Amino acid sequence: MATTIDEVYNNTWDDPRERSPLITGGLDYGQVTTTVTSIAESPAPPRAWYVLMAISLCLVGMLGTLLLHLILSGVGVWGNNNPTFWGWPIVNFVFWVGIGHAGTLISAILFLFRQNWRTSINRAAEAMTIFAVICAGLFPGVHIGRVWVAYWLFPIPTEHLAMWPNFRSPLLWDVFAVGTYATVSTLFWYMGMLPDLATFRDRATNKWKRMIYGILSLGWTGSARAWHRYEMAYTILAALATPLVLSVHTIVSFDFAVSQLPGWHTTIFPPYFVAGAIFSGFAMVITLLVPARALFNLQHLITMRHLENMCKIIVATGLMVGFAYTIEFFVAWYSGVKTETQTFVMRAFGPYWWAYWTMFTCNVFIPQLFWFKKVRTTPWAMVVICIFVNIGMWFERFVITVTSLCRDFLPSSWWYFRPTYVDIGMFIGSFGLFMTLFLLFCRFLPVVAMAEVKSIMPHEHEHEEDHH
Amino acid sequence: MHAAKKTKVTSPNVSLGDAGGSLILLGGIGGIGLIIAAFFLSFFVANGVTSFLHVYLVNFLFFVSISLGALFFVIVQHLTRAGWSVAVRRIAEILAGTIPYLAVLFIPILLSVIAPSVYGAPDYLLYLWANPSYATEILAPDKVAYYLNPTHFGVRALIYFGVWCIVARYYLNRSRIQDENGDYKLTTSMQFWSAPATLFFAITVIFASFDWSMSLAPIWFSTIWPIYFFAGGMLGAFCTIILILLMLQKNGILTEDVTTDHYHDLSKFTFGFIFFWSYIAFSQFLLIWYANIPEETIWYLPRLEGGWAWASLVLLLGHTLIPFLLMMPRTLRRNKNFLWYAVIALLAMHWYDHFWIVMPQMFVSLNDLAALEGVASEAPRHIFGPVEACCFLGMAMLYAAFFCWEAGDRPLIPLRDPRLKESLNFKVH
Amino acid sequence: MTQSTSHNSHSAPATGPTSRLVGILAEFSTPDQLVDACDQARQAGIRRMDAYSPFPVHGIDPAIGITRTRLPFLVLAVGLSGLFVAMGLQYAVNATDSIGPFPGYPFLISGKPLFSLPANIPVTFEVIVLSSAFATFLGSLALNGLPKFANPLHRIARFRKATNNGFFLMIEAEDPNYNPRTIRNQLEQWGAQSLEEVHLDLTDHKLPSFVRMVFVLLLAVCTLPPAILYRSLGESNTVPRLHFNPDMDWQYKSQAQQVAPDIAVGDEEERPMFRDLRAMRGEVPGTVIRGQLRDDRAFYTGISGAEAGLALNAGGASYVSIPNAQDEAPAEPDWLTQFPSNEKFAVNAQTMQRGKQRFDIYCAVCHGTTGEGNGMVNQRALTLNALGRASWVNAKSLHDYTVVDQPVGRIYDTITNGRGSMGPYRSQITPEDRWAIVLYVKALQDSLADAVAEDEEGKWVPVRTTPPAPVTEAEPAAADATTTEAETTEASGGQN
Repeated sequence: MATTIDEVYNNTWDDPRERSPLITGGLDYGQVTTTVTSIAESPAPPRAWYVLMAISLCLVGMLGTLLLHLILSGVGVWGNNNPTFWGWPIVNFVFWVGIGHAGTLISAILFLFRQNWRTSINRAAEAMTIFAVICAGLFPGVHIGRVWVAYWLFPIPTEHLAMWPNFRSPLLWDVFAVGTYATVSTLFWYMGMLPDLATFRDRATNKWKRMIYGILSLGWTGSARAWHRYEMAYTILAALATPLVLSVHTIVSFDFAVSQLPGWHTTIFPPYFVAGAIFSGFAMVITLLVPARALFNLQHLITMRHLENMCKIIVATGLMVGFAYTIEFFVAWYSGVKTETQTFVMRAFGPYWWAYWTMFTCNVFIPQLFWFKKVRTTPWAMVVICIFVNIGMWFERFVITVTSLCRDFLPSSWWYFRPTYVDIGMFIGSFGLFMTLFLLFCRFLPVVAMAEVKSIMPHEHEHEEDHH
Repeated sequence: MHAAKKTKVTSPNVSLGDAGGSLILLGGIGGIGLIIAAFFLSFFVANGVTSFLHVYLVNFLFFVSISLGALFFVIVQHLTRAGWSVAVRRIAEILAGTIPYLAVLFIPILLSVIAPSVYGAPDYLLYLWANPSYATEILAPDKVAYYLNPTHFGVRALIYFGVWCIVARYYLNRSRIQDENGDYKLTTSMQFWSAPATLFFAITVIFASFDWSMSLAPIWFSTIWPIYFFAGGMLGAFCTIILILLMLQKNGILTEDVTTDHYHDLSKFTFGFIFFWSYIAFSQFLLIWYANIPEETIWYLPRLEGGWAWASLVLLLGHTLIPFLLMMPRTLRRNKNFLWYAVIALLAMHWYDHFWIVMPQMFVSLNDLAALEGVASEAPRHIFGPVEACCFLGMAMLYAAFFCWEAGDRPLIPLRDPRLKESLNFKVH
Repeated sequence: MTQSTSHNSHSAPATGPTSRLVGILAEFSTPDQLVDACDQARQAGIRRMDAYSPFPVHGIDPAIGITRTRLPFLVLAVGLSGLFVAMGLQYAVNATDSIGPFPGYPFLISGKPLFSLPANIPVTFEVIVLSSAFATFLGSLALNGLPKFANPLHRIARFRKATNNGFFLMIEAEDPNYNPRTIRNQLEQWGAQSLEEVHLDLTDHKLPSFVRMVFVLLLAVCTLPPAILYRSLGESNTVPRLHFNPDMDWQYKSQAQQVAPDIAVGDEEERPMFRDLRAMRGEVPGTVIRGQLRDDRAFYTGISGAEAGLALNAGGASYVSIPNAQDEAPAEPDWLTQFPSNEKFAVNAQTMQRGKQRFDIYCAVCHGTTGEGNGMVNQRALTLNALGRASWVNAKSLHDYTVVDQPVGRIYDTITNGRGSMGPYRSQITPEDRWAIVLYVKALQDSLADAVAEDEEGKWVPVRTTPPAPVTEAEPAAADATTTEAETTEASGGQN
């Protein structure tokens, strides 16, 4: 059933006497299936898909070329200098890891909070998480300079090197945190996808598809015993992923905060980074899902209410981030420590004032528009604001990394940081990689967790209010 | 097999009834008596009024953090349009509703700040920065001029209590009016105001935590402090709500409407906040320990030396590791007998957390002052003694009296909340 | 919503010797009907059944009689072992000297203890989560018997709805209460829309043998690269490796004392920093670097009189003590016999403390904390000597009469410029600290005196009554080392 959406039912009304429906259009189980599977089953994707794919592939090509250049020539091709040893690569890393937080947050934390609306968006968000983490891993991966010895990061015994990692270093914690996060997110994603892959298998019309989806779905039948263990496993994974998702950005923040550099060493960093990550992650989910739901006719599954809820989370986390900026500023003054105060004054009014105020405007001022319901229910407005949020969050990491480093304790080594074309090209290229993976995902895998959506649909015929 | 859906409250008793009156009398008189006893005892067994004020602050922070946690709980239930929690929300509303009375209990603390500069009273009562000579000699002049001075401290406290009283009373009163008229639009307006309320709550709690507990060590600073304070308060609030529900049900109140599933969810949140508190506490400790900057380690050093090292270990085990493991199994979380012990132990740990924050600072401050005056100081070490016991019991009895006073013989469950039905039929899968 | 017409291209296969009846599959239209049917089947005494649905149907577990899975315990066990593995790994790697055949990595970094719990918690946490997550995922698959690609249910076309919008109940033929005659009626009574028998195909569907062969071969080939890698790990190779990029083997650099381009990097020429081909600027004539004036020459060289100036200009006094090619006995310079005294150095208890502390840092590793020449490095080196893996010359005992009799200036010079195989400590230890060490060495020597006696000036001084020990007392160990180094050392009076 290729649904054409003529009129989208607005389910954002808020009446305490009655819950608004989570999915609209009066779909039954079969229609939910066809809505989702039609994306992969249609002989050809929409034209926009091809256009986006072509652009993304060009960017991936650029990324690959620049990577080759970087590896052959060394990290000197970046703009990193002394004292700004961490430039764009780390900014990009933190940016992408942050974006990679929404997926697991939606599927794990909102699952534990029984927020049923998550079911329509968790699959796409999880996929986005994994792709973002791939993009994130790229940057520190090549930042080590000699990528062919990247295995030194792992505790692999070698007799002649006489060398092990230093486990007391936050950079090594990062290796473990991001590695664990990528692995567990992938397991979680795949685990959630098993029943849907089985649906794809059972609907496949040609032999190859049937075989590939058959192998991927591991012979899933949907037996009640399997569901019982599956639900338990899913709950446990969610319970594991919740502290994990907190720990990942916490440990990323440790990279900065265990140092003694003013502007980096502040105890609020762990929760502040996590809030920022959720903030940017949800912004990216909206940026992707608003066009995707229009492109693939998913308006009945990913409804206005889903988008509105995400907008609310964005404004809440945006305020948390804003509070953190303010507390940092206040405590820098309260501490009476000169270097601390100086760093923050310099951030706002020094050579990088433009970065600071871009960050502040995009992250704190602009999302306040979401206080208006009209804005929260206008898809294009959401996308515009969310793109601003993404820009702002990139600048936040830029401000943290560069402004603190470029003015270290020795005035003689102060230096202005400028990116090179390789920095800029690799960052844009990473978007190409991200988009390519996401577009492939949309085309070949279940974009919406069908089984989960079905489980929260009101049972037909009877028990109207009985939605679990 | 589908059990019939409950549509309204079925417990025989939904209010305290007559029992409240005697509790108020007992709690009020006993509480005030014990606090006065603690005051006089402090001259015999401790360091006089300074000791008393510190112990008093520990208890004040303990109860105020619980009420603030309860207030946040109420706001968040409206913010998220939660259905499951309606049956237990009134308890939290009443706990938050005691904030105006707690504001009265703040007066001794305020006096301790004003006294040194106005009456030239002893050098050091509670906050070291309130001592004019210390403030001018040690602290940055700006900080004293614009933040850490008695006037600003008092005005800020007034603002905090003002905001909290308005928000807490608003939610309690609206919810009670709804008991009478069942108007669902009240819920709509409570939901509407929940977002701005969160905002104001956050701002005030941030600075209240700086003012009341972080400024005990006036040169120390930690940006995560408000979250640490908040996390402990939320844990305290959930434990208190569970404890009150257990006591009420034991006395035949709300027996039918609050079910194991409600306890399960409340204790899930308790578990969550055990983890969250530990996460925040560990983050703060790790960052300061790792960077090893003297102006920051001064806060942890006295707590990791001598007897206080053991005290810190107790906190690590009792506030983090043991409850984390014990609250993990689902069967234990659903077991009321277990919950009795668990929440009392957790509340004790939450109290102990404040004790651990406040008391070591007294010795540090006494030593600092002695150093400033060029006198060798042998500040007495501290253990839990009769002053602490009396002060805690007194404040607890007063708090119970406040609760009963606010509860009166009015319903302890929002009788006509539009989402009550959802909550009564709530099941944890 | 259900379309219950049952026209399948390959419906139930003919019952014959090649297949076995597994059970009967009934379809229901709603999840509630399915739960009700399960309930009734259970009441009818049927135990061996399973329900199939596109999503987890709540309330079905008690109806079928599913007990709570033990998965959480499995995860807990694995998670706990993750805790111990992570802690053990970090302890072994960063706090021990060796892990089995592999060397450890016990280095103090940024002042953190080798095994420091707070810093080890993040990795421990991640390992616990990682291992628990794998336990959850693999454990749930294993308990569910997945992957399982051969399932008789997959041969039934209608069953494909089970992942879409169909709700199925299968009652197994092996159930004692399964009655092939009545079961159909019963199921229809309970609301089944369509019924179908499930048969297990017993014909041999094994993979052709050549496929298995290829598979085994592929597996074998896959093990080759790691095996080769492992073999080559401990090997050395004389062939220069391939350079896809410079890989830090060649770097642009200017060396401090470089006066001409002497490094060629590929086609590029190494450019010196300055026009005179130097990489560094010399001192400006007629100036003295701040703090380098050193006008108190005796203090800086340990030599009194005119020779001191000479020694200072030559960069040290060693020129006078190194024997020349003709083996002429060198003239001893005029060593200071009394400690110098200026604003930087004075003989007092504080200096003695300082001397002890510096001695314990720089000297004790070879000479031992008591100066008897038995420091840790020395002991270790002698062990290696015995194994023939080193040619170490024994460190001198500072209580040797040749040392005891040395004037203080001479000892100072030894620290400054080294003697024999002992290297110079000029750059590591400041002059005042060197004098402090000399002071401490003198005290050490006095501490082993046999008696004290009053001298002419009425001061108590240590007295030695035992005859001087032979100079070569410590030589046997050094004799093993037959290198020229040892000979030089002997010629210059051993290691002082």
